[in-house]
Amino acid sequence: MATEKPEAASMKQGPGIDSNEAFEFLRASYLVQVLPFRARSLGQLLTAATLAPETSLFYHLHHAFFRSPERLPEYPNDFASWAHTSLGDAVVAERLANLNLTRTASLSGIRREISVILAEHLQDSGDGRHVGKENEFIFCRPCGLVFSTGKRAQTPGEFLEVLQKVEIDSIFYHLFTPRLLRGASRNDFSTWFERRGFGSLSQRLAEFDPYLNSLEDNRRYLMELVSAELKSRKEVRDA
Amino acid sequence: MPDTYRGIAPESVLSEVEALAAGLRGHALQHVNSTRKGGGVAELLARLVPMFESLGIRTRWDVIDGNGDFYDVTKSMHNALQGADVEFNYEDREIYLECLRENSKKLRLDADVVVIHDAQPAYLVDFCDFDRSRMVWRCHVDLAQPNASVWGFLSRAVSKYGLAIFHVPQFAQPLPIPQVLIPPSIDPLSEKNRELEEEQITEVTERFGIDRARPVVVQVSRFDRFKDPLGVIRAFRLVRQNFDCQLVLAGGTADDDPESAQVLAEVHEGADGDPDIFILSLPPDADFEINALQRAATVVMQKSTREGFGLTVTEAMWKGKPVVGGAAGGIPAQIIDRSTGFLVHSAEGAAFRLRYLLSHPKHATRMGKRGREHVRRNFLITRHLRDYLLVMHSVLRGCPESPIWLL
Repeated sequence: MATEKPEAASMKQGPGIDSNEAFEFLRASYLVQVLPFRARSLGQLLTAATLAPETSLFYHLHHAFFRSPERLPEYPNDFASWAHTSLGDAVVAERLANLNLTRTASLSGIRREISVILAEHLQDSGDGRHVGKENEFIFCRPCGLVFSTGKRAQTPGEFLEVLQKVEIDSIFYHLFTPRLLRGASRNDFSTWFERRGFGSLSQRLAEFDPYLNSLEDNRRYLMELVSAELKSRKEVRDA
Repeated sequence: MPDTYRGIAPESVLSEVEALAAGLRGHALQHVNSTRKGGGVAELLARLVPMFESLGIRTRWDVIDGNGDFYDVTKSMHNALQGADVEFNYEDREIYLECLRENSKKLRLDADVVVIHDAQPAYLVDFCDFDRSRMVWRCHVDLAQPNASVWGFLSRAVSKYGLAIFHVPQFAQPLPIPQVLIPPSIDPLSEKNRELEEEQITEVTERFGIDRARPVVVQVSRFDRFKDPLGVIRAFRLVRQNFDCQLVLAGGTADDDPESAQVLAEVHEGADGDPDIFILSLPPDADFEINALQRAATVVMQKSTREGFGLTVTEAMWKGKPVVGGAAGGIPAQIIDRSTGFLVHSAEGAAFRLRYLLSHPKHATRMGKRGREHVRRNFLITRHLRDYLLVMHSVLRGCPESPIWLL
C-alpha cells in the first residue's frame, strides 16, 4: 500500500482508478448551499422536488449517512424523515423511505419516483397538513471539492487493508456517487474488481444495497465480501 | 496548527485543512467585525486567525470604530434581527451609515477574500472600493424571524456581497446571492472545554455545595425566558417523584438584557428554596466553572423554546453527556434524537426522558459517547476552519453560485 500526502484535486471526478490501475481512495469536502426552494406541505414538497437541482435531491437522499455514519436512521432520507417528524404523515413517510435507489439508474428517475409517490398520496389524502415556518423543508445541495485521501491499493489484499482504515467519507464517495452523480453503471469498488478479473465479486459488490445499512456497516460488509473472495481464491490455489 | 489538535480532531479534517490550505498559500484573508474582545465572534476570531496564519494564509483582523450612539443602534438592530419588535427610524439609519462611511475611509480592504461579520459592519460593502464578489457576509445571529424593517434595511447591503453564510438552513433568507451553511463550533482546547482532572471538578461542585454522590441535572444558559428555566424546574420536580437528584441552573444575567434580572428572580421564586436546586448566577468569564459543572452532570438539559444555535448542547456532548434539549433553533441540528440525547417539546417530555436516562445509566453513557463522537466529527473548531478554507476556494474560483463538486 502506498501512502502519500493528500492533495487537493479539484474537479477530480474519476472512478478512483489511477493510470497504474491502482485504486485511489478519494473523498469529498463540501459546504452546504441553501437553495430557494422550501416546502410546508406535501404539495409544496412536490413542487420544490420537481424544480430543485438533482444535486439537491442527492443531498437529501444521502444526508442521513453523513449525520450518523454508525447508525441506520429510522428513515433513510430527509424527505421521509420530514414527512414523519414534521408533517406527522407516517404513510407517505414509509413510501418515501421505500424509494429503491439501487434499482433506479439516475437522479431524474428518482425525481420521477418521488413525484409519483407525492402526487398519488396527495390525490388519496389531500394536502391538508401544513407545518409552520420553523419546520419547513429547506432544499440544500453540496458544493465543494474532491480530494485524494492519499491512500492507494495496488492489489486486492492492499485494498482490504486500506478499506479497514480509510475515512468513512471515502467509502461514501465510492459507493454512492458513481451511479447517481457520475453516470457510472456501478459503484467504484465493483468497477475496480471487475477490471482485475474478479467477475463474481464485482457482481456481488454491484448488487448489494448499501441503503439498508449504516456507512460503518457497509464498510464491514464490503470487507466481508472481499475477504471471503480472497480466501476462496487462496483455497482454490492451495488445492 | 493542525498538530495542536492531532489526536483530538478527526485526522480526516486535519488532512483536509492541510490540503485546502496548500492551495491557498500566499493568499490573504481579512476579517472585519465590531469588537476585539467579548462575545462569540471575537472569541472565535481570536482563535481562528492564528490558525489561518500558521497555515500560510496571510490573515488580518480589523475592527470597526463606533461611538455610543452607533452601538446603541447596532444593539437594537441585533435584537431586531433576532425577532425583537424595535423601532428603527431614519435617524438610526443615518447614525449607522455615517459611522460606517467614516470607517471606510480608514479601513483598508485589500485581501483576496474579505469576511464581514454580522450587522454592525455590513454596509461597508457600500462604502469600500473593493470587488464585491470577493466579499462574504457572515451572519452569527438567529435570523429565523427577523424584524421586517431592520432586515429589509440590512438585506439591501447583504444582497451586494458575493456570498452569505448562516448557521442553519432556517436562518437563510430570500437573497439574490448564494448562501452556504457553516454551523458554529467549540474549541476543545479552550478553558470551557479542555479536559479537567476529577479533583478540579469536585473542587467546583464542593464550592457550590453540590453532592456528586447523587445524580445531577445541569442546564447552562442565560436567565432568559426562551431558555425555559421554569420549565426545567417543573420537569425536575416531576423527576424527583422517582429519583433523589439535584438540579443546577447555571448562567448569568446580561447588562444588555433588562429582562434577565427579572427572570432570575422568577427562577428563585420557582425554586422556592428547594435545597436540591442550585441557581448559580455566574460572571461571563466563569468558563472553568461551567466546564466543571457540565462534566459533573449526569444529564445536561437545554430545554429552550427558542434558540439561536445553543452551543451549550455541543459543549455538553463533547464532555460525553447525554443531552435533553428543546426541539428549537439549532438544537435539532446538534442532538441526534434518541442517539446522542432526546429532543423534547414540553416539561413532561423532558421529565420522561430524564427519568429514562437516570434509570438507564449504561444507555446514558453510550449516548454520551456517541454525542462526543458526533461533536468530534461535526462541531470542533477545526471543521470550522476547514469550512472557511472551502469558502475561500469557492470565492477565489468565482463559482460560489454553482457546486464545484462532481458537476
